[in-house]
Amino acid sequence: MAHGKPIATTRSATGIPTGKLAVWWVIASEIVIFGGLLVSYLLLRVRYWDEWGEAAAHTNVWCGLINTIVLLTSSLFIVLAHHAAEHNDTKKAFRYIWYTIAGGAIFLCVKGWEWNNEISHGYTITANTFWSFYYVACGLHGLHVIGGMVIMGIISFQARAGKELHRVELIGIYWHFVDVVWIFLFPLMYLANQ
Amino acid sequence: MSDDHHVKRYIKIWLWLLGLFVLSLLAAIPGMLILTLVSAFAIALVKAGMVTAWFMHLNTEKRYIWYLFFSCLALMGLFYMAIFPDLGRMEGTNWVNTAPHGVAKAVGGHGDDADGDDVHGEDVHDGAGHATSEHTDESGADHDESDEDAAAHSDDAKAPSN
Repeated sequence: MAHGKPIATTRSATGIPTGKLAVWWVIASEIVIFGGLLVSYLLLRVRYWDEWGEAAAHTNVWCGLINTIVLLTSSLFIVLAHHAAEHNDTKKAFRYIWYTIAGGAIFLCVKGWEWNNEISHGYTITANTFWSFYYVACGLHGLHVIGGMVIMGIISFQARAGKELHRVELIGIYWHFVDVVWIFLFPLMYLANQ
Repeated sequence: MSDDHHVKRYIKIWLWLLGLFVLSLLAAIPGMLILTLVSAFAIALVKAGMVTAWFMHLNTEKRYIWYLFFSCLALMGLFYMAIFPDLGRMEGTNWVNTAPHGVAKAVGGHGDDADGDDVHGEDVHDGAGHATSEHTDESGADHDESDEDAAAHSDDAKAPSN
């Protein structure tokens, strides 16, 4: 009797591949984490209308703008990687995954430069509640970017070897979620600055 | 549907996302915060919907994923409603934490107020801006519930563990 790999990929009660269901569970829990953070931000933003507006005016809109374009583009690359993996084009999948990782790296570099600039001007995490929110929200998001890049790096080599190609889709779902979080963070942190 | 068609559709969605992003930037130019927030959030919702539907393929996923997704969104709404009554209040002293003061007294004097420099007798405003007196002991004894609780905790802490 042949012993296959003891991983349930398609036989979950829901009919959804187990890995994909797990990723969606992760995202569901993340919704509550980031959602709670964003909702608290909105409440305080409305409460401290003028003070927070003044603080938000010191964020660098250009950095936010570049990072938004970079993340949206990286989302395109990872969905193209998924598309390539579905068609067993492992080389293309590998290449697109690394384009996505490069997007994450650019995002982090821009964010690092931006933070360095802000901290050097005295806008630290303890400056006031707005900056506390800013660093916690963007920092938590940045950690998710780093985590996604590491996982993508591992999956890329598996994909190149033609193994576990379904994982390209799984990391893609996660990466899109990271993009979605930024879609909401950008207007709150950078645009609402009057 | 051909491969090329899929790729073209992804690129088209990406272009739409970029276009909507530019639109949210343009809406911020007049400098009206309400317009900026509402338009940026509405556009963000549309963008998030496009990413989840087309890039995350939620439009073709089974309903379980939708249930999971929306039940967590509903849970977030519940959290929001739970904290909004407190956080939404604009007046009163609901942001002032007087608990540490009471605890410090309790540890030092078992809830008795020898020096009389505590919050008793001071008017404390509730969240709606109404002035209330914090201690209502008829005998005039200088202690309140928070002191007693803190003293009880303090005594518990001192009790030897068996």
